[in-house]
Amino acid sequence: METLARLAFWLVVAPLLPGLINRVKARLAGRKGPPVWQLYSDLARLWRKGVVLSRAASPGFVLAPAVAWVAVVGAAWLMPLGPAGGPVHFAGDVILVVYLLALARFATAWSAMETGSSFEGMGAAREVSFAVLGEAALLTGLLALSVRSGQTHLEGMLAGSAGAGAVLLGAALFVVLLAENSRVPFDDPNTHLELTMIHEVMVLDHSGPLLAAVLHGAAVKLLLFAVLLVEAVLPLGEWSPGAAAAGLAAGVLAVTVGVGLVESLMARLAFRRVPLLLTTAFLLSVFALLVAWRGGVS
Amino acid sequence: MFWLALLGFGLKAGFFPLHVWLPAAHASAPSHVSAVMSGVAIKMGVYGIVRFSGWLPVPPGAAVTMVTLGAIGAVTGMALGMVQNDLKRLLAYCSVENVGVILAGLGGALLAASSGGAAWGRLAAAGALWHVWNHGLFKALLFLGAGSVLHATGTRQMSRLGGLWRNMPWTAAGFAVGTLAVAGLPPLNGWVSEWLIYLAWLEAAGRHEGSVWVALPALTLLGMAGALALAGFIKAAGTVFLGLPRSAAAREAHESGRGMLGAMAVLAAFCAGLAWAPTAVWPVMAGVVECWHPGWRGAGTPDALVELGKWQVGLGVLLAAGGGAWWGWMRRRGWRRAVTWDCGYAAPTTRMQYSSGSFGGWVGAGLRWACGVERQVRRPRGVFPESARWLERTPEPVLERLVQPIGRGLAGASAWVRRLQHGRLQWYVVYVLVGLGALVLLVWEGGGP
Repeated sequence: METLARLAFWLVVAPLLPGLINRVKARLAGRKGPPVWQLYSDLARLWRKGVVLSRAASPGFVLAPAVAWVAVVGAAWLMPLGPAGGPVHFAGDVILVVYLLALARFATAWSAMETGSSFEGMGAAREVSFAVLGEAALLTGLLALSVRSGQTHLEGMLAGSAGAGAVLLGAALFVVLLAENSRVPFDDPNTHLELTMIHEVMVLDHSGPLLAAVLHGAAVKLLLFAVLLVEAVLPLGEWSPGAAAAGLAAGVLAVTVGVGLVESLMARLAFRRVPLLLTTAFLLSVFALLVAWRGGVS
Repeated sequence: MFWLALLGFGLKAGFFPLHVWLPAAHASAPSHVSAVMSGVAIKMGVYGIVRFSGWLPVPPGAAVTMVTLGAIGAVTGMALGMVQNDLKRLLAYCSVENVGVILAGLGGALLAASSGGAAWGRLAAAGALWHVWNHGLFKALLFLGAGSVLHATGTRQMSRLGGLWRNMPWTAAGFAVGTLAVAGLPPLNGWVSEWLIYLAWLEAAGRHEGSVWVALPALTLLGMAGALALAGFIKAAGTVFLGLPRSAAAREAHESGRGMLGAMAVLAAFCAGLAWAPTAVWPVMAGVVECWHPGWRGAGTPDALVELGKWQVGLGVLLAAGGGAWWGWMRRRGWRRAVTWDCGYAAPTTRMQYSSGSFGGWVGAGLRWACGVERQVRRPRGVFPESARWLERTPEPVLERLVQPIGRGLAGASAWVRRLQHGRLQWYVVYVLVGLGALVLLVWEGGGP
């Protein structure tokens, strides 16, 4: 029962986030913007549509979006949710989350390579190459959390007080969130025909339910990173359940609005600079780790 | 003594700065031999290091050195693999990476032994030893797959292959299993042993003592190596098996015989089996670890591993059943086939697909300080260009920047010495006389017998 409730939370709430981001962007640009639940109707529409496959694609092309979706939802399910805690917790589950996300990345890049298009191959190459730096930043940030709390499972790591490195860690995780979810300084989710894309370009040849699985998985992943960021920064475990739930909701909302603001106020980064920004995120994580390490000694 | 053992067995195991012989040897050997070389032969080096670190007094600093070498070697090895165009060279560099992971795990175990961290030391040692097995299994599987490709098409150059899944579906499926395993992705076996090593580092980092700080960079580097392995193998599988054939040889490839496919199926089954029953493998590994460090006994399977085992099975079943159901449902809905849409670039030539060189371009750019990709370019000129040329070659940095210059220096020095030997008898008699005179002088000065 609890499992179903958790799954329902992740699956149902996730498509709200892209809608909220678009609403923020529209407001700042002076437009009315699509309704917040636009993605729900998009998904329903895609689900009913037919599928067109590339002649080059193997059966793997049909399976990959399903694998990616299962991996992302599995990773999300493992995340503790504020006062409700985690569904299970065991030492090292944090690594499982990181690697389930890697499995999703693998499946997406795989289906991009299926089409035999140079454009999509390019997107896959960029995605997996930048992920090297992104993963380093993410793992170092998680390591900082682990060192600070002395725990090796997510629930323990994310419950505690934020500590002195919270600002550094928050900044690093926010950059990783932007990179992993193809938001603005890295990639522009609005464009479809420009040569500077990473994620969007990989799914150009998906259609119908395949595209629906990809889009929904992306929304769940965004929510996952937002929850991770909020729980890493706010000491939710020390608050009363009601306050923690409210804090989590407010935090996720703030992150979403933040993404929208960044997207409206910043231009996409020159492509050669992307590794630089990711390295910056990595260094922020390293400093957060050093703060946690020194803090533990004294 | 320990340092000498590390150097000697390290050469055999082929971890990072000592790997110079490995890519060329593994790439040129017949593929089934490469499979044994990678799966078993280089593990003899690891075995040697394990045995000697159990017997010999381990000098202080050795553990930290091993962790550093292993972690840096894992990242560098795989980054070099990423820029290769030769399928089997890529696999060989990936062996360098995996030996680095194993070495880092062993170093962690030594560190734990010297600082009294039995809990995480057991995890690190068991993870490293388990990774020896896992690497043997999936690397043999991949080499057999590469051998089938070589046999079917006559080339190892990934830029000439592509779209092989059509003619070689079973080889492609086996290679895909190996790819998932080697990238350390759940729910296959490479992941379980890497997870044990990660967990060891995490637990070590929580302890805040002495030289355990090395766990922090090691964990990050391990993560980078994992991400690079994913990148390298999505490139290999993607350019070789997916997309469209880039040459006539790839278009006319044929599936391998039953013997080859059977061997690959057995290896793939083991890759899954070892991963889905981690609690069955743990006692074996724990026994070996206990033999290596008699103090670390008892305390059955770690709870976390039991939990992970459930997850592995759950995920495996979910992916298999869910994937099957999804496939069946999509099949019933039906689909239309069309050219790759690709934003309207209909029907380009197949050689315009993203090649392995371009795929590795970003990593290659990041590596320029270590191994500049050498290029020979002749751009097309004029209105009716006659010819153009683009050749790329990735040098092996340690071999060509370090070992070969030293070798050339030695050869130069020897050439100078060699001028003494010219075949003129009169001069040889003079050498003998001078030598005798010098001996007489020596005896005279020394007071002699």
